[in-house]
Amino acid sequence: MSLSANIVSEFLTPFSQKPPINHLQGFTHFASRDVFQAQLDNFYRQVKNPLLVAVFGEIGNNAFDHNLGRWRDLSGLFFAQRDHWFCFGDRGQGVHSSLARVLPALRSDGEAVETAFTKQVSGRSPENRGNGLKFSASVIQSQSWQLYFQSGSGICTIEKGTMTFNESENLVYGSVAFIGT
Amino acid sequence: MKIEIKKFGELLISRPAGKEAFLAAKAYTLPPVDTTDEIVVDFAGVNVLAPSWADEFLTPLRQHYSKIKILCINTENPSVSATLKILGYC
Repeated sequence: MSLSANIVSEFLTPFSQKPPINHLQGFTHFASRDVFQAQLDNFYRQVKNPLLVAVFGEIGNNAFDHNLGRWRDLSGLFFAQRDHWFCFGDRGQGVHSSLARVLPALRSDGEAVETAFTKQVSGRSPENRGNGLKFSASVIQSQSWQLYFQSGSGICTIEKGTMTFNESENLVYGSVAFIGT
Repeated sequence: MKIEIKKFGELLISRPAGKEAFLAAKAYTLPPVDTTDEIVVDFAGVNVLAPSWADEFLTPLRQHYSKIKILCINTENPSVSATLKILGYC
């Protein structure tokens, strides 16, 4: 299933609105990690796929792991589903800001996103973290699923098992990921 | 000694939950730190395991019992095997 321009536009547009905003239309809001955990139970009953739910958990929990106290406007995690595409997004500080704490030499959002997906590093160093996105990318590649991830201008896509990094002219305020199965 | 992971839940995903599980196990389940018995971590009955939860549980477990062998069994669930692989455990 290819990633249509309509889906990209529908999922990205809300997260491209300059802050502050006070509402995200068309998305389910998980205000806290506990609410998200309860939804993961529902996801598992719906899809019965351990790897998919593990990826949802890793990507969704990043919103709470890295943005508590750092939301741009709306707090929490936002979710939408269209057919076999699942979208998770937040209005947090974004990958570049998070990693800049430990890697101040990062020059761009694109470099930050590439680092997040390819190196075991976390904005919460010295805590030993930084496996979640690598795990998610590895599973998505092995299952021949698709990923579009953007934070700021940095983009990571996975299609047909190949991971690619790009920069966009349109900013995402926070992070957004959509997974196609 | 065998640790039945399913007793901590069937969907094991977040870091806070993994950290709490280890602290609870340390208080009520785990043997003394100077035990010489092998520790078996049994994943039977677990529906979903994610690296965040596993890192918060298995990493301190390995540090706590650094001198004895820790064996993982019933790891056939694909989320369990993929998680253990990326963490380099078991």
